[in-house]
Amino acid sequence: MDQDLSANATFSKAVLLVEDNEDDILVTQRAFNKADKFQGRLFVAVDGEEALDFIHNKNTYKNKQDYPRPDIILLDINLPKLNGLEFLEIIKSDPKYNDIPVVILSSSENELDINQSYASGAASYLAKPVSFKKFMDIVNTFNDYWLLNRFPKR
Amino acid sequence: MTNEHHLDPIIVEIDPDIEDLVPNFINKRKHDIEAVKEAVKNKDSEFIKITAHKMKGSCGLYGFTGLSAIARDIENKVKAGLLEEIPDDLELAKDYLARLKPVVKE
Repeated sequence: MDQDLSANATFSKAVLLVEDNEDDILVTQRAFNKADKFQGRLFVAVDGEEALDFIHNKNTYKNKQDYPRPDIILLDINLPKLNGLEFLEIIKSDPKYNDIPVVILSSSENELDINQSYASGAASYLAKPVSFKKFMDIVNTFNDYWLLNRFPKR
Repeated sequence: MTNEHHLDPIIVEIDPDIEDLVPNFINKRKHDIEAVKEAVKNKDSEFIKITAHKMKGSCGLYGFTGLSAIARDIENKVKAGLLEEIPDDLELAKDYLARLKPVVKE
């Protein structure tokens, strides 16, 4: 059993945030640092290509100990170079990585983006909220929810 | 509109956990507004779309819902090809920032 479901349990997994907006990165890091139940590591990639490098341990992410395979990916859609949906389709069509849950975190209200995210294999689609407090609520709910999940053995 | 009314403050409560991030955040939005103004002149719709979309999301996360709503309008207008209407939104955005008084929540 690799999940401790007691009240004191903490979510201690590697989360990869794929986000190009510096302000959103700062606030997300702040929220995860502040979250009671998050004891894992939050990594950041600033576009889809960098996220692929991270997952494949290429270029600046060669060291597997420093840059482990993420247990969950938190993905924005509007990204430079390779956008979020293109990145999602690439990893979901790769048997080595298609079991990593991908949660979309976007300010897009476009129904097409939502539909395409799920059709391409997203586990969830979260809208960016309108206050830090609401964002904290989402991060705490995110950690509570994934704490209850079982993950593939590595 | 009198000048007095024009300068009525817009008070926004800021979470103490992000207080230190706010001054730089606001400065960057001022730069965004100027950059979008230039982009309207240059008819650079792609830049306007990307910048407005980012502003919409970030301003929401930081609690500046009024500015987020203006950015949403800009995003919708550029998608509809209504570039000539965007300078009015940019004036609203500048006015919002001029009147903005962030207050840290107790």
